Amino acid sequence: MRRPFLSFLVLTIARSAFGAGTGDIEGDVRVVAGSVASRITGPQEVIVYLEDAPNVGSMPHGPFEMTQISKDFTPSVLIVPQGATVNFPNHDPIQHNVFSVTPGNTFDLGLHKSGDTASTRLDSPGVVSVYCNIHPQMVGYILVVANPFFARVRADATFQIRGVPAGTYKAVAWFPFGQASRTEVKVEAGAKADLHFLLHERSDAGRHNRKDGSLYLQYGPGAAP
Amino acid sequence: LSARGLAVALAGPAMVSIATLAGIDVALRSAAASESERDADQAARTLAQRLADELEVLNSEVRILADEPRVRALLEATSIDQETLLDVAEETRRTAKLDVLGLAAADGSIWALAGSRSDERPPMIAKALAGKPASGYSVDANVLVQSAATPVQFGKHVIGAVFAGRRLDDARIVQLGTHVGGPVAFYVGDKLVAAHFERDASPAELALLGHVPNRGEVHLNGSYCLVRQVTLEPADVRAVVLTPRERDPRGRRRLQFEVLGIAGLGLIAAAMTAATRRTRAFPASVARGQS
Repeated sequence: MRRPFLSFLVLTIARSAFGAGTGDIEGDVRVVAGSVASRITGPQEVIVYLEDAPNVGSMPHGPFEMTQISKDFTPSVLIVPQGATVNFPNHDPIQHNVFSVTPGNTFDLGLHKSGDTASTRLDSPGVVSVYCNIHPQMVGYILVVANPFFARVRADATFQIRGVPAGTYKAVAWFPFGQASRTEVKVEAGAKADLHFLLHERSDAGRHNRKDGSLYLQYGPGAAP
Repeated sequence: LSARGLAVALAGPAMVSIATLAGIDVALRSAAASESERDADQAARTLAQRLADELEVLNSEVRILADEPRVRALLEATSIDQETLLDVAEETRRTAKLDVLGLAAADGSIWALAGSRSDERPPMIAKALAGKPASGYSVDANVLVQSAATPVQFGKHVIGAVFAGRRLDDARIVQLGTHVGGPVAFYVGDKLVAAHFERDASPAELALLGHVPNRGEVHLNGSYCLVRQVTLEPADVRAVVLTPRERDPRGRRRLQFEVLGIAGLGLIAAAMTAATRRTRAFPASVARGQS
């Protein structure tokens, strides 16, 4: 009996703190390819989220899973709430060593063989880069969100975030192939805020070293910088 | 002028011409033979140097691979399985543009030979696991492979070995032949393992070539060739390079015909001179006295 009451109380306090009114954010994203050999397949790879919005409303539910298959992470981009546990099942016939050196979410799951699942809890919001210590081509990203106000950009390059409590927030457009774009957005109750992002692809995005900072290969076309 | 007189008059110049012609022929043949021998020796030296250079490059590459952090980390890991080792070996082989790449753990229990067409483990891996770098030639499914192996070490402790190989396939044999200026063949013992003239020569000729000593001559594909051998590592692997016994026999023959032509013209000129001397008119005073 006490839990539903507590939830109701928190929600009521939150609503009074941030104002009962909510507004929407709508906009579009333009992605500029870095070269003729661009890895971008479309604007759907962009995620727009609010960094400092309050954690009110419905957050994504687990279980959260990033599979290792065909020496790749699937999905390559995963969105999880702050504090979520992410599973890394290995569906390859070979071993992998999943790790991250992203500050705040550093982990090293060690060698795990085919069929095994390793897990880790992610506590700091932001983008976590996930790699395999054996296979340099394996790159995955986990966006740890502190609130439910995020959206994946549609194929027509537009996005919409609904029911944002009125206020001024830092909006971020992030994609795996370059620098994120940040801007401030003011949301007014019952109104629609427009946002436009321009992102530039970088050819060196995703390149990384091993967990100890060393290069995977010191020479050859597969060598990391 | 009698025929005998003319013959006597021409005998001298003719003998001189024949002697000159014979002398020129002997000199040309001798020069051509020496030149061919020099060419054959040079071809063998060029081949030996080229093969040594290629092996040195492979040695450098395998040393770099042994220092690769990913390779070292894998060989150091105690729980690594063979599939993963083979996968990494295959990826590294493609990256390093090698035909064969082998990885072996220190105790030899886990090893992977990516790109190999046989299950045989090259003997060089055992040498490398014993702590000694090794290079030379090995045979992989009847194809000769330039090979190098080196230990992977942490300090003095050997944690594994890396093996690298490049096949001496048809394309590379032709390249070698072009580089040294003559057909090249490789034998392991008496067995021919690579040659780019294999299709043109008979099995008997090829077998014969395998028994030719370090310097020799063979009749191959309708012409005589000088043979030079280069002994490789291990010692039963030999490279054989062929050079034609005479690089330019047509040139020599042309020169002989030119000399013969000049001599012939000389003889005709000598004959005409002799004939003119014998048939010239009496002086006028002698003619008047007679009348």
